[in-house]
Amino acid sequence: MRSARTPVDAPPPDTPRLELRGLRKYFASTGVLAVADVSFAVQPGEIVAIIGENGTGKSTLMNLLFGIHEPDAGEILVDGSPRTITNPQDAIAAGLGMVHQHFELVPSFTVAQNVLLGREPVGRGLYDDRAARAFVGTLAARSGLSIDVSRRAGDLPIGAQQRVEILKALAAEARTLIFDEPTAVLTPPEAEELLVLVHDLAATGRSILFISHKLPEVQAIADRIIVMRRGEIVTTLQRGEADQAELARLMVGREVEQPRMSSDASPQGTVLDLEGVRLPGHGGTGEASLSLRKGEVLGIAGVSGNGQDELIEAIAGLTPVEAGTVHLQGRDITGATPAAIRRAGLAHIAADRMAVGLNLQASLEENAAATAFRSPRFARRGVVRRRERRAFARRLIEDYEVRGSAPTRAVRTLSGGNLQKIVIGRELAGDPAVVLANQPTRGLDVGSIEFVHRTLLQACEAGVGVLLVSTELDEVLALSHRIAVMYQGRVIGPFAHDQIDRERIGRLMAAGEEAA
Amino acid sequence: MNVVADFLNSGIRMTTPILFAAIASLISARAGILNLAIESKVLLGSFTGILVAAWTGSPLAGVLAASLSGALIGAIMALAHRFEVDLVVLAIGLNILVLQLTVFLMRSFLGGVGTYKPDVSTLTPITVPLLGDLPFVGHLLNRWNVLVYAAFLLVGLLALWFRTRAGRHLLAVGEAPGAAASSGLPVARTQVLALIVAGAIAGLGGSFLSVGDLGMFTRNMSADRGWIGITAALLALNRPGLLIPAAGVFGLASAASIRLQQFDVPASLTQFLPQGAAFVALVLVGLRARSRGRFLQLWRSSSRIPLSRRRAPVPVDEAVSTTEVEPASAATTRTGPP
Repeated sequence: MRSARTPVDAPPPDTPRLELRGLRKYFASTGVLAVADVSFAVQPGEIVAIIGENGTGKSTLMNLLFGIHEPDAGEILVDGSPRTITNPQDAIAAGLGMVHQHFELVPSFTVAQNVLLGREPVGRGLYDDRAARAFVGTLAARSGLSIDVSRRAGDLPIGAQQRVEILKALAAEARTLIFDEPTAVLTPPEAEELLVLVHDLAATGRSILFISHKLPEVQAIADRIIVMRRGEIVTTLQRGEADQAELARLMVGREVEQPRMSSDASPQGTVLDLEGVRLPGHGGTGEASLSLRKGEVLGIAGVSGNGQDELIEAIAGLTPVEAGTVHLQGRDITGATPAAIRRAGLAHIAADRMAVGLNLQASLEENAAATAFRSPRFARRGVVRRRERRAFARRLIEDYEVRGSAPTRAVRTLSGGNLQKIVIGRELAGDPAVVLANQPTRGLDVGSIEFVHRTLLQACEAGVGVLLVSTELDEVLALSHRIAVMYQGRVIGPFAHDQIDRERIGRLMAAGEEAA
Repeated sequence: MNVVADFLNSGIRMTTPILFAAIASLISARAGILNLAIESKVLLGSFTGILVAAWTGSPLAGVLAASLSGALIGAIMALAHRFEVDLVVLAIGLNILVLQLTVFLMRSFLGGVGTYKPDVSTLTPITVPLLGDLPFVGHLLNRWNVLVYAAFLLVGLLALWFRTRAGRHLLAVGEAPGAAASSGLPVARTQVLALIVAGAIAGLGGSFLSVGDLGMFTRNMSADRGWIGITAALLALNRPGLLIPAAGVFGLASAASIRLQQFDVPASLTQFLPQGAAFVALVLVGLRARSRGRFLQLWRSSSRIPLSRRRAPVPVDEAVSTTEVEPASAATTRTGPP
């Protein structure tokens, strides 16, 4: 289905392309045995998926392969011969190519300049951009990757940035490509495109290591699935050997189910009321009005970028409202400061937990008290009550099962699931009347998603009003008593859960109105 | 006519040390390092320069030593950087240390109280063939010492160097160290070299003040030229092509502050001119950053995505397929990197 591609050389017969023997990595600083005695082999042209929950050692394993960490024990064999990999250069020389989860691109450089960084063509002593563009253009065409090689990497959409990463690995003549959760940042169509591409790359004899915790795509693409839990390989399955429920059970180590809202709840009394709110950046296209009741989950579906972030930020006081009013428990909070709005009973689970929800450089206890640092509970006459704060952090760690952490440790070492647990624990601790949950499960694994869903529903049963924004329709459908759709800055609905189905929501998301 | 020529002449003289400092700042900034110790490098350069020139009797040896002393401070910063010391704090310490150290050494060993004026000649002016024959500019551009020509030449070399492999690697290291490292570039080594070279260049600027121009050293001889150099580099948006005009603005402002004193303008006012120009320049750079939404990004969610892209309309076909994704845990839609 795609244009001709260059096959790569095969290793000697009966030799795997890449073999890991007894790899082990212990982090003394955190006391975590991230990778414990991992061995497996990848054949040429084979797609091996490694699945596991967040913080289970998958990424550490890849960092060992790419020379970002050094293993404490074990060896890495490429084409049958042992290789010492102590830095990315060694890994590149060994024919390993990494497609990072967080793209490693120079934003002001063009696609061609990024792809050939470190191996630039030179003419008369100067960097030869024309030759670079020609080379990368040919490479992209031959590999079936469509991309404009002279555009700046920083201007590209996320999916195209990922193609640049893949081109980088191909330009370095990688025979083994490692994808670290490649679809986590992609839109569904982009993700589908990537899976086709990965499949095609394997068909040319390249070996693929595909790390993910998304079971459907793993099932769709992998020849073999390695399940990891707490640094160890739990089991290895051939394609089609297990269904998704089974995979999820193996990954998490117990049965996983999707919690659902109970439909016999009877929400009463409005806690949050938006009237004719006009959002910045969607000038004139529409006004958002909605009211959230006590003890209900109001789900807002919609394709990302239709004003959901602006809506949440407007309610939380982070973005000015251009017109309209916002009432929280009957009080007008339009234009109030974020701190005042929080004091009035609002909690905010931000979409970007790394940049907005948490301060990654600060300790867990500092983060846990970040939204209440002025309250008498954590401060007396402006002086921090450390003992109280630490006790609170300890209880949060215990109640929310934040594995492998301590109150004084910087949170940047924690996995996505654990970070989100800290955010949610902190936000719910203040007995809010309203919780804004913006993409609360983005990038989380199956077990953590279940935990977040259950926690939100518990809060709702306790009488909190939850405004859930999600681009995952299944999430909205499972949790929400009422469902609204956002389209171009406008809120459509809400509709009662039993008055709307998936197809109708889909139409509203796509076009903003129903076909006649 | 004569007044204008004199003014421009003194402008070039004032621009030279600022230009050296600006080059040093630009190289550091492009390597991804905020180098605030340039003032100390300039000052130490001017002190070492005149001292070694007096010892050896050769102004050129003084220039060389000044450059090495600047490189030494650069090396100290590079070492500290490898141990993850905060370079801003270190720079504050270095600036204070060098200021007091030069005063201490001058008083204790050189017998000078406020100034040290050894019996040594300054750098000789170079007569460039043919250049002097040009009308007006020929007179203006000719018969400067080697450091003046070197400063302007260095800017051109720098612009050219950014188009070589090594130069592009420096730009990559400075802008995206993670990307550079994953492409196999030696990030730490590049930054170390940049700091040392920047120090050497700032040291040259210092030597111009003492060995190249006045033939003496005075307390705090650098007089904020390091800081003004940093400002000039900022004003030039860290682009070599804009560096000479940017440094020239400050050089001319300095020249003007001297000229104006002849017209009975109070010295306390005129001396404010270069720093005043720096203030205005920084406001301009700040406004530019704000107009690009950089300040807003500090607190907006999805802060690592340019604002323009956050609001990009989503094509309808993309929207439809979102609804078609079947399983519960399937896909997350992009609004930003997780």
